[in-house]
Amino acid sequence: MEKSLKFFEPGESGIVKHVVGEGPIKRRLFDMGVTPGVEIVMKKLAPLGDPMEISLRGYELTLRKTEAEHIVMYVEDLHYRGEGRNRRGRRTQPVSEIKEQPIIASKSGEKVINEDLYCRVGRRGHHKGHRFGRGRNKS
Amino acid sequence: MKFALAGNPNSGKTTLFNALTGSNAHVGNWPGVTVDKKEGIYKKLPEKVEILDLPGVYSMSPYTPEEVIARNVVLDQSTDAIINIVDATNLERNLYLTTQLLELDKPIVVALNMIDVVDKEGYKIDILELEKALGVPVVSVSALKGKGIKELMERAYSKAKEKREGYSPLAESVLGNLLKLTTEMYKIKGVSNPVFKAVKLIDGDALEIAENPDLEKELDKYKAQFDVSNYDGDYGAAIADIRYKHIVSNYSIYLYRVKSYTSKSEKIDRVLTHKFWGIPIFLAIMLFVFHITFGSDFLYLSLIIPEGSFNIELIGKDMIASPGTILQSGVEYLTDLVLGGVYAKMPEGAWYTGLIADGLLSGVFAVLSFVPQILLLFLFLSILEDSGYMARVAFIMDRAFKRFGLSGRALMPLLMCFGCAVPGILGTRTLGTDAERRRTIYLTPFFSCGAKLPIWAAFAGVFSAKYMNLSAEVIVFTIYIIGIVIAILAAILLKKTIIKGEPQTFIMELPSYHIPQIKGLLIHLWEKLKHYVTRAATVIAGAVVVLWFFSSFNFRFEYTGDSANSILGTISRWVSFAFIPVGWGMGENGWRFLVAAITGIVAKEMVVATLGTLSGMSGIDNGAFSALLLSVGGTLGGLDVSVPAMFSFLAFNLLSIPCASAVAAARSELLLGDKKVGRKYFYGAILFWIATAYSVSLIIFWFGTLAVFSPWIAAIVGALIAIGVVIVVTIKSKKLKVIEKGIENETN
Repeated sequence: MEKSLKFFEPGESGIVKHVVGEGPIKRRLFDMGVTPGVEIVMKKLAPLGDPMEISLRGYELTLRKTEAEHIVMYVEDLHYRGEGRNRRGRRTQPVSEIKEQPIIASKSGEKVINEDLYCRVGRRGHHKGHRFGRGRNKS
Repeated sequence: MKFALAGNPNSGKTTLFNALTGSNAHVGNWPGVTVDKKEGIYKKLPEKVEILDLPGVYSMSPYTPEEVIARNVVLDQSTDAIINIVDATNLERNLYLTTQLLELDKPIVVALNMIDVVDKEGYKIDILELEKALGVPVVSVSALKGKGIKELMERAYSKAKEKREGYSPLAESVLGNLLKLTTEMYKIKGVSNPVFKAVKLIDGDALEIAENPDLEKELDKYKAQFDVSNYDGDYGAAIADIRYKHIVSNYSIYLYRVKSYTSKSEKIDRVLTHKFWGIPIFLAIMLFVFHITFGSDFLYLSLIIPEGSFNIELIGKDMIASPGTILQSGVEYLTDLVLGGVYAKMPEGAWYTGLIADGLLSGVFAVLSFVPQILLLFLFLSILEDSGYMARVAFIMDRAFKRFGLSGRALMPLLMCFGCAVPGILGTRTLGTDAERRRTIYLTPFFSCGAKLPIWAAFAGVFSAKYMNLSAEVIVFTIYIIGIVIAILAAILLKKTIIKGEPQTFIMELPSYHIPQIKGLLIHLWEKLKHYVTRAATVIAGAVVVLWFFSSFNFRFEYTGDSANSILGTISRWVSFAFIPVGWGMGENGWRFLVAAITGIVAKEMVVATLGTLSGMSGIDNGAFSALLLSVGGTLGGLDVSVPAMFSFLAFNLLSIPCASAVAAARSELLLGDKKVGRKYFYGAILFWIATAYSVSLIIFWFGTLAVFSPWIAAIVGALIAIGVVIVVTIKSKKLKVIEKGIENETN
């Protein structure tokens, strides 16, 4: 499922699909390492609800929600059932629409070509041994 | 020989620069922008090496003045080699800049900093393998401890004599052929650093296109043959992505995780940016800073020290003054000694005694006595900045500032203004954009500084004694609130009118916490002290002499020694009618208040001193003085309007032109960059301060008079305005919420 980084909750993580928008904001995000395929963990919101603190490539970055809006993320859709609608009636997207297999770049430099995207990403702590693990989500 | 020092912000660049050049560094400004230019000399090689510290940048794109400067320097022919400092704890993002530097045809040496922290965090870096992969020397250094610096410089020195050809990660990517073609175009044209320039041209870099428009046209033809549909045809995205992918697969594989570790910064941040405790902790830290700088009862020790145990001059009676206060009284003690000596040596009543003692020395000393406190505030500001906490303050407070067209980073300088506007104004350097910097400087006087407090105290004391229902604390507190409210309104007004500026972005690294380096702090503080004292000796001394001349000579240029009959006094009598609408210009004493307000431009403490002199008696604790203060405004149509007139006078002093030191600081900060534009903004600031002071005083006086005439009418009018504001604000925020909901629905 696609989701803007703006709507992430603290502790949630995902992989950058692409960065939308034009000009300096987009360029600045790229320069700071927000490129397709990188894993971002949303760490917290500031006490007044904005901006947010995220962690990527082993460092912490803060940005306002209006800027986070430019970042489109992949997240695990727990109710994924192929194209059509899921249990909650939301539209879902077939895997084939995702052009590129994201790469998870961790600080240790290990490069994981992510064959089971929908199990790897998602809320922290959910992804390992979750009941909606591999078998169910992979179509 | 000339080396440029390049690296990300927070990578330890300044520390390395200080370690390389010692105390011979020279700090200036890059022409045209507010970015520090630092130069120094490294002497431990056979040849003297000039070191140029580039501003900290994340990239070589042309979006900020820092990036443009860094780019011009690395491209400059006179730069023989580049030392690229890389923070090992943040390898991936730091190497992003390295990949851009490697594209230059220049010798490069990578200084791998903070390797000890990497060890502690449970990582290991294979430096030899990294060196092989990068193809340039990698030297592990500790900028803080001065380790590895000699080796770094020796390798850089030997490499600087060799030639190097630029290499781009693009060469191995889908854009490889495009890069080859573009590089050839540059080579044919005979441009140096062809690879670097070719990549920038493919990137669609505005500076590069402006420089080589012919090549850009040609490139467009080639571009059609390449498929970047993965990136929606966005070459900028493609290049950034290729760089990072290249780093991950070729360089950062040499960073191994040995054991797991929660970084100290994360632990500290759990407390300092906590949802509930973040803001209270920040306020507590600020209170503590102010207590150390301005408190008269350090740590409230008077509560435990028994009465009558000691009474030491400069330190206090049964209590210990805070370090800032002790230093300030110390300087005052010294300057009083000097002044006393001068008075004793010179004949009383002579004009030159007036010039030297009353004018020059008194004025300059009044300003100098604040130097310790200004420096102390500045020291704290630098410690908070260097430790990494300032970025957190910006993070936790940004939301509150966004609405006013400022970012969280403006908070700290503005808070400093409650102590003294000078460090506040100098602290605006760290702000993101010129527009934000200017707006912040415009707001600085509205935060009531320490030197203005005596004015509030004098009036509050006298008025609370006469009007029993008006307590002194309430008067002083009201003034502070007026200042803050006006600052907020002014910020919104400025954003919408004079200083519009580019849309604000707030994408900022939260650097790891570290202990500030004392050497660096002292160097920084020493620069500020030099700056400040030179200014006191030049600009401020000049202003003092001019003001002294006008307040002690009459129109026949005879020395009167009495400001009442001086040029200033006479002119004030003539023009005081202009201040009748604001209340305090009325009555027979109106001109006296005007003179006081004008002398306040030298130093705000002078306001009370001038009123003391003008009350006819020297010294402040006498009936004539309080009678003068109470006479402010006088009567209007049989109504006693002295209370509204007093508030109007206080508000005027709060909001109008700040003291000479602050004006000088504002001038030097606003004039940085484009001098012509800067001058415009500086005169704009002066006008803005006067206009704000005048109009706010006007509103206060007339609304206050209405309240004296009939509290009920005033209450109804006030309530109506308040309701109107609340309605407007709620409608606006509701609209926003509806829009946000819409976006949320769409994305889901």
